[in-house]
Amino acid sequence: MALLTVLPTKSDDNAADAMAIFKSVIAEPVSVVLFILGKPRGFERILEVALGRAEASRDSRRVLHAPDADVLDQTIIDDVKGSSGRSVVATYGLQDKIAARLTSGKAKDRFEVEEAFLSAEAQGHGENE
Amino acid sequence: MNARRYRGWIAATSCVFLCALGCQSVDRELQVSELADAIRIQEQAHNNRAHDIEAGWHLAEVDYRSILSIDFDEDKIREIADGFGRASGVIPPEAADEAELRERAGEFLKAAESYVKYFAETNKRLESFRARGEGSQEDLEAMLAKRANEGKPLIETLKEAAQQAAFTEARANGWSIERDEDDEFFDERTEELYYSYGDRLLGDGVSINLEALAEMLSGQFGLLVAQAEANLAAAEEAGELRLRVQSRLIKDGAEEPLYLHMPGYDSFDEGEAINKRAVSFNLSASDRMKLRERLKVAKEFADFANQIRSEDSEVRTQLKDLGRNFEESLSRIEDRIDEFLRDAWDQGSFGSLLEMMKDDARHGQVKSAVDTIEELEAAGREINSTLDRLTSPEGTSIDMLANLFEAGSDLFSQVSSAIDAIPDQVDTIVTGMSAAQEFLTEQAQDSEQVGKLLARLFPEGWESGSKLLKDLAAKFPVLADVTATAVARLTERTNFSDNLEVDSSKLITRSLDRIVDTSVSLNRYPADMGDEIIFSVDIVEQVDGQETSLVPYRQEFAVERMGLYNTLDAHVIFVERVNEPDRDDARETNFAAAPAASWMLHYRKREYGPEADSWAATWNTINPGIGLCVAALGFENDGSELGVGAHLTFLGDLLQVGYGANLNVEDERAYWYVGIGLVEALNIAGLGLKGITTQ
Repeated sequence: MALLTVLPTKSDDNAADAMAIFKSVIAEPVSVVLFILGKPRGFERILEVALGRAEASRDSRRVLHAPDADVLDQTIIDDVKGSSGRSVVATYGLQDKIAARLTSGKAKDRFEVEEAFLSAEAQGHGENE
Repeated sequence: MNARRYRGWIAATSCVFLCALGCQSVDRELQVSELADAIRIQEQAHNNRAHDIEAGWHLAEVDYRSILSIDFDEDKIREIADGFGRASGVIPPEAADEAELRERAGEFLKAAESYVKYFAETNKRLESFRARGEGSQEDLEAMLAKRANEGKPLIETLKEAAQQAAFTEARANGWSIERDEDDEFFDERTEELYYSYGDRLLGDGVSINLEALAEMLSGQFGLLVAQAEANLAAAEEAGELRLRVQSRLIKDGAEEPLYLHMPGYDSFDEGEAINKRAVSFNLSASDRMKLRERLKVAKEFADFANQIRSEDSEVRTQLKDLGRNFEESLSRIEDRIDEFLRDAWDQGSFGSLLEMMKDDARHGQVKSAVDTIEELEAAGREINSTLDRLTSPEGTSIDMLANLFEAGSDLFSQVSSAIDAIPDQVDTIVTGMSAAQEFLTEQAQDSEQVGKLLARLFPEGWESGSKLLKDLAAKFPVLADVTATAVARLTERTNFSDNLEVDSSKLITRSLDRIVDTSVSLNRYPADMGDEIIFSVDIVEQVDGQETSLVPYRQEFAVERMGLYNTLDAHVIFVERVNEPDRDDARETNFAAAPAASWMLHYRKREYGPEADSWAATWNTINPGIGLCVAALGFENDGSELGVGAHLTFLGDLLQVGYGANLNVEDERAYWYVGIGLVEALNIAGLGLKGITTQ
């Protein structure tokens, strides 16, 4: 599977496939996913950092971008935004659940992104093994 | 590698970067509470129970037999001292530990290298899994999880280090390090600087860039060493910081503090051990001396009170005579002057005399004399009123005693004030009246009538008038003597041992690398309830032999007697026979005052700490007790009969109610009594007996 997957927008012909694509990327075995919701502030930097950190382990890390949030179920959107409502990036772990959420500022920080990927990779196997 | 081990590296590497941060930020504000955090105070009670006393707890109660242990957090104290950029008695740790820091940095690099290798190995297994389906999913997920658990603390450390380094540089440049609600930096320059660390260490496609990490550590280390050297040089120039610790005992009512020995921080001799058994029937030599003195005071007071209550008492007669003479003297002066003026001008008053003299140069002198006479009249009325209260006290027993205290105190104050003023007042009156006499004599040269009146007024000349006034002045010291003697009897002081340290020059400051824990043994000093202990710790700067406190810490303790304790004191008791004898020659006791010595037992509860309960404060306020009492009674022979009794006491030893028996009379031996603690009562009445403790 490709390092970066971009979901279709509402105006695309395959907009209806967006949720299915989303789920298939998340469900890929032995992989973790960094998901970017919409086009937040500093999107280019966010995408660059995400791809750079995914590249470090290209067989287990994926980047999934949804330029248009409207193609997704509201529950997915709410889950990514978190209780603060300010998160724009989330990593999904080996158990296909969200492991970490990042605001736009933190999503541009390579340390934060790397930690988010590592949290996703540790999912289901405890934090202190 | 496990997470626990990483934490050690985190601490080590954070230290490197933290030092870099700290060395460049020596201007932080220090709070007194920082030193409080470095001090642990524990009270070790005589019953071997120990409990912590929270630092900063104002007037925490401590038992008079306890030992206060003081433990210091040396690292915390040095950290505070380092905040001043001064030498803390040793070479700054970052320079002294240069080799250790290099070793720690090397260890961190090794850990990072190990992690990078494992990261690569995991990637290779993943590639095989994707390309050829080799390996199980479970094994790979376990490897990923292990890699993540090893990597997270490393990445966290790198992030903190990068933040500290970047933020320090940003602050130095005056850039904001604040972020908004999306964690975006307000200042793009700070953002760019901070992100640059991540870009170098976690470049695209690499787990950790070891070359960049080594380069960054090396750079930071160089900065650290340079800063440590600069700090050392600045510290040597600025002067050494040291620790000063002291405890002072403020005895109730004493002005000078007594320094208590704290091992390691002074060269005082340890206090002499004092027998402080809480409950004891034994009397030490000191106890005997105090009791004897107190009984003497109590006896004199009892005699004084009984005399005043007696209609035919000498003291009462003397006081009445003094009051009457004083009043008569004033009246005579006023009457004779008034009569003189009336006869002379038929409209006699001081006002008319002054009106006559309004254009005369001597008007001011006469006016002053007239004003002074009016002042004397006012003072006389006040003193006579107080004398009435003193010689005719209202109420009985305790009411009467309280009234006596109050009246005696007022009289002492009024007479003292009057005595100070009398010489000047007499001079003023004599001068003024002389001036009036001269004036009137001059006027009389034209008036035969005035001349005659002058001769009548002062048949022996003006000197007789002056003598009258001076006689009046002379009476004041006599009156004062009586009241002063009475009050002095009641305010006799009992001094505690005065061979304790009051010299602060024996205090020793310690280098911050030689801080030792210490203690103060209250049981070796005459600390007792009502006293205070002031404990202080200072980080002081020594420059040219002068010490300046840079970080002070103070805590006060209230000394109390906890648990079961006894007191021994003298009292005045007011005795009433239960049944008066049916004999003609028997005198009624009628609450006669008698001196008594009492031994009392109390129990004080701790109001704070683990042993406290909800009603401890109420109990301690009421402070009930039971006691035994021996008294010198005078049912049939003045003060020569021995009475023994038992009583309940309240409010400490202030009030007692008891029942006893007179051992030296044949019949109707039983009596009951109410007593009053002389020391407590006099303190309440404001007569000042603070130097006397109630041991």
